[in-house]
This record gives sequence, C-alpha cells and structure tokens, in this order.
Amino acid sequence: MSIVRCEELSRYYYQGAENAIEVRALDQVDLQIEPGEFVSIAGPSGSGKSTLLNMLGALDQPTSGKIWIQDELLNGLNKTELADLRLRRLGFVFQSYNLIPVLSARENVEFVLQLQGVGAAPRKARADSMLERVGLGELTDRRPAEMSGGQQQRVAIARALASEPDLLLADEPSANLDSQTTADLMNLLTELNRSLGTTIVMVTHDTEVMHYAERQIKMRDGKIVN
Amino acid sequence: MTNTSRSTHSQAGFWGKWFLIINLARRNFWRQRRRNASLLLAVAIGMAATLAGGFLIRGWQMSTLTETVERFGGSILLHHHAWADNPKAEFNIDLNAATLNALNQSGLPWIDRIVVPVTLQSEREARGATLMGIHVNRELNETHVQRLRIDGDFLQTEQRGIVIGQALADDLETRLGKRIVLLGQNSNNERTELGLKIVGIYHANSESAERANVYVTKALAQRAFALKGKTSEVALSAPNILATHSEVLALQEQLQATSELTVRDWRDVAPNIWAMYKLVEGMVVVWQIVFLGALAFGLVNTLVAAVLERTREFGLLMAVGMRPGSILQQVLVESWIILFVGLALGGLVSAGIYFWLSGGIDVSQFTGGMEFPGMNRPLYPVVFPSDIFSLVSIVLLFGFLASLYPARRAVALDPVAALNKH
Ligand SMILES: Nc1ncnc2c1ncn2[C@@H]1O[C@H](COP(=O)(O)OP(=O)(O)OP(=O)(O)O)[C@@H](O)[C@H]1O
Ligand SMILES: [Mg+2]
Repeated sequence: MSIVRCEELSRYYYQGAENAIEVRALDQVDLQIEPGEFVSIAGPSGSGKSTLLNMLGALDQPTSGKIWIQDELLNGLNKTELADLRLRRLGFVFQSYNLIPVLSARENVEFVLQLQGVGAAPRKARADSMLERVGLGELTDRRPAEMSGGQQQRVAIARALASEPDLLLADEPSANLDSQTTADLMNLLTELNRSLGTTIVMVTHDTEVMHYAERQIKMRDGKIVN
Repeated sequence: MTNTSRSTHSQAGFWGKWFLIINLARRNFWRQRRRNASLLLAVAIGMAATLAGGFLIRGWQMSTLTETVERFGGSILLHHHAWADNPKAEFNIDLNAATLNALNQSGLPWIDRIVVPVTLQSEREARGATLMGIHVNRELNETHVQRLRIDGDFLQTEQRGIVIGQALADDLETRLGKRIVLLGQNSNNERTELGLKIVGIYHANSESAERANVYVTKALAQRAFALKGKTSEVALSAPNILATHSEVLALQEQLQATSELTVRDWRDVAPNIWAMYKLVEGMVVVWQIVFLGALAFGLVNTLVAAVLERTREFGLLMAVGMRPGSILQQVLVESWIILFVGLALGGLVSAGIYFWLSGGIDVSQFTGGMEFPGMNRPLYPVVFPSDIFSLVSIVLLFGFLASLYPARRAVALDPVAALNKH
C-alpha cells in the first residue's frame, strides 16, 4: 500500500477581474509515494510544488481528482476528520511561520504530543530527546522570537518527528539556512529516513539539496515532467 | 531511537484538551497584555458606570414608591367603593366585627384614618383642604407625618386642636394659637361646622404639600362628622410593596360579605406613581442599552480585529492537527477571561460606589422646593439583581459573538489559506 497516492489531481485558482484568469497550479497530476521513500520535488517558481505538497498534506482541497493517504480517501472528509488525520499520520515543516509564538521550543514540540494525548512525562522526555537530536538541547526554553530562522526550522523538524508521523512533508526547509546548516539539516533528514523509516517528501529548488533524496520529481506548469 | 514508544492514543482526553486550551489562552492573554488590559478596563469601567447609574435610578424608583406607600401608611388600601370618585364622609367603612375580623385574618399590620374634604375659614379668608382624622401617635411613628417639621404641638397634649401647613396658614392669614372654623358634611350629608384652635403648624418640602392636608385626632373627626365606629380609609402593609397581588386577593375574599368595600393596592390608588414606576423601568433598559452600545462597539471591533490578525496562527494550529472546534473554544476562553475579569472588576467598583453612597444622597437641593416624587428625601442606591444579570449576560453574549464570528470564519478556511493570510 502506498503511503500517499493521487489521481488526476488538479487545483485551479481564479484571478483577475471577475476571476476571469484561470491559474492551473496543479494540472491532472498522478503520483504514488511508497513507505520509506525520500522524495524531493523541484521546479521553477510557480510550477505548483507547494500546491502539490499541501495537497498531499490534506491542507488544501483539490478542484478535482482524488487523493488517498494510506488507504483513506481524503475527498469528502470534514475539517475535524482531516485535522485528526494530520495529527495521527503527518508531520509538517513549512518554509516559514512554523511555530506557535507563545510557546517555547519544548512546548511547541510537546504541543502535538499533547493533542495526541501523550502523558506529561513521556511527552517531555520525547520532546527533549528530539530537540537534542536536532542540536537544540540547550535552547529548549526559548520562544520562537528568541531563535534564528534555522533554529526555528529545526524545532519544526523536531516537532514533526516527535509525533512519529508516517509521512513528513517539508516545504523548502533549507530556504532560510546557510550552507553548513543546510547540510546538517539534510544529514539529519536522511538519517531519520533511514533509522525511523519515515517517509519524507521535500520541496526544494536547491540542486544540492535535491540530491539528498533518492527520488526526484520535477514540476513545470502544474504538471510532473519526469 | 525506536518505534516502540509510539503512543497508543490518537486524541487528547477531555482534561488534556482543556489543559491545552487554557494554557494557550493564558499565554495569548499575556502576549497581548496591553490591549487586553485596555479591553478589560473598558469593560470594567462600562460595567461599573452602568451598574452604579442603575443603582441610583433604581433608588429613585424605589424612593417614589416607598414615599407613596408611606404616605398611605401601607401598600394596600381599603375604601368604600364610592369613595374613590367622591371622598365624602357618607362613603365610609364600618369597622364592625366582620371587617375587623377580616383585617386581622390578613395578618398584615394596618392603620386607619378619617379622610374628609373640608373648608377652612379664618377671619379673613376661606380655603379648601383635606381633613385627616388620625391616630396621632401611630401616624407619628409609621407614616410620612413623622417627617413633617412642627411648630407648636402635633395634637399630643392639645387634642381639641387642629394642625395645618405653613402655606395654608399664610393663605388664610392666620397663625399658631388663632382659631379657625372648619366646615363640611357629616356622614348623613348634614352641614357641620366646628371652631378649632390652631395648635400646630407643619412645614413640608413643598408648598403644595403644606396646603393639602390638615390634621385632627380621629376621635374629634368621628364626633364632628358622625362617624362613630367608622373610618374612611384602612391602609395595610404588605411585606413586599411590589408583590401585593396575593394579599389583595385574600382580603377581597375575606371581605366578600361586606360588598360595599373595595381593596386596591397603591398601583390603583396612585396610578401616576405606578405609571412613573413603569417609565423608570424603561429608563433602566435605555440606560443599559446606551452604555452597552458604546461598550459593545469598541469591544466588538477590538475582538474582531484581535481574532482576525491571528488567522495565520489558526492555520498553523489546524495544520498540526488541532481541531477547528478546539481552536474556537480556545478563542472564546480567551475573550471570556477578559470579559469575566473586566466584569468582576466593574462589579467590585460598583459595589464600592454602592457602599460609598449607601448613607443616602441629599437630592432635595436639586428640586428647588418643587414637589417631585421620590426626590423629597435622601436618595438611597438600590440593587436590582436582575439589572446585574441582564448586563452581565449581554456583555458576555456580545463578547461571545464578537469572538466566535471572526474565529469561525478563520477556521472555515483550509489550513493553507489561513497560513497564507498576512
Ligand atoms: N492562493 C492563491 N491564489 C491564487 N493563485 C495562487 C495561490 N496560491 C498559488 N497560486 C498560484 O498557483 C501557482 C503555483 O503556486 P505554488 O505556490 O504551488 O508554486 P511553487 O512551485 O511552490 O513556487 P515557489 O517556488 O515560488 O514557492 C502559481 O502560479 C501561483 O501564483
Ligand atoms: Mg512554494
């Protein structure tokens, strides 16, 4: 069973006066990702990379087409069911604005575990060990505003992985990072993919970064081109 | 790192969820503490001002009422049924065994008096007035008579005399110690005439009050108007001025045999006071609406803006798996913390104002000697719990809607759409 699969998936936006201009952000995409894969999505700006990733993460509704996560068809699920599904199976790292501003790094990581109903002691232990793992063992009590962009990105990864998702979705996780931090982050993702078997789908237009993934998807004008 | 620690839960329990919600709400409250503090203060000030104003309006309202009831000596009145239209000695109450029995059966304290229209003649002038034949000591203890300022004697040593108001004395160009002649019709509709010495002059808050009544002892009035064993008016004191209905019904039942008597409460006897009471009832509503309108406008604006600017945050919360319903609950908890604390603070301040004014405010200086219901005595603040209840519930309702509406709109978006809002 694939971890995520989509069939003729489209997402159109309508812009301009009286919504006369149709933008095909995603155009009849078929895609299947197997458990344990590490996939990168590349392509020019505006080619629909983020749109596809958000669709795979049940964060957006398709204009047409079908999408399954494991064997669950997303079409027709309500907002609460989608939220529960994301909570149980998915982890996200966004390009920016990843963290809840009023919570410390540890609390941000714990937040998802709290939603899942994990008890206080195991929650804290898991959050601490994940932050340790992304190299932030010293910064657990800082608020997002007191951390650099790269540090925030790593907290987001710790949060995404702490809940042990079946699928980790990352949208340009290295966009704000210098090359050394980027390399560290990619090594971390590769290692997590290998040791935990977490499936990872990552959007990037950085060719360096792209090659950390085993499978590379290229997009153009809302279509997968390779 | 292994997979064995995977949680078996998929959703936080009831307490876990509320712990989460309250923790977030608390943090967010602190994040916006300046704005929240001003919101809170606005609610508190609005609440305190509206409540305190309400206490005074209610105080005045109750004051007109107690004044009226005190004037009668009770909230329920018994008269001959023809007396209301034509208050003559002929239309009297026979205080026979049946009537007395009915009065005593009611269990309410009562007082009676003779009330007859008369003409007073001095050496120079003549004037009309209402003669009151009273139980002197009881009226001096129980009714508004105790508030009159008296020159001379109020029928306590000189029981053959008459007490009149200063304004009437001026009109009649007479004074204390002089004699006047009292003319009227007795219970048999015969002309009666009586010379009396003015033993006392009273001063009231207004000249019209000083012209209205003249006082003699009940015994003297009974003799002069052929009313032995009879009286004009019985006033009964019901424990709750506002709820006299059951007592009125009970009395009517008791007095059924004596069909020429009517039982009425102050509403019927003084319809103008009752109309005023109802008018003030409307004033309280208007007062609350005016204040709340101003408050609600600011409150709604601020809350809507505060919630809308967090759309992105809600997108993030939804993305990581928080249910839209929980996000709504969290937003509502946040605004209700502000509203509750504001309301509590406002309540405390208004309680302070209440106790500060509870000694009574002298408002007679504002009425300039005019007869104005309820204003002829100190004004005491009065608390109507229903006013507090309506105010609190309206503020909470407004706050609820003002947070719910924008929050619902925010969580109705797909997480991506919410996350992309700036
Ligand atoms: N909310 C929106 N409203 C209208 N058009 C949109 C919206 N979001 C995306 N689009 C359009 O859809 C197309 C695909 O956008 P998308 O964000 O998926 O591109 P991308 O490949 O992620 O680009 P980038 O590398 O710049 O992040 C673009 O043409 C974009 O303008
Ligand atoms: Mg993008």
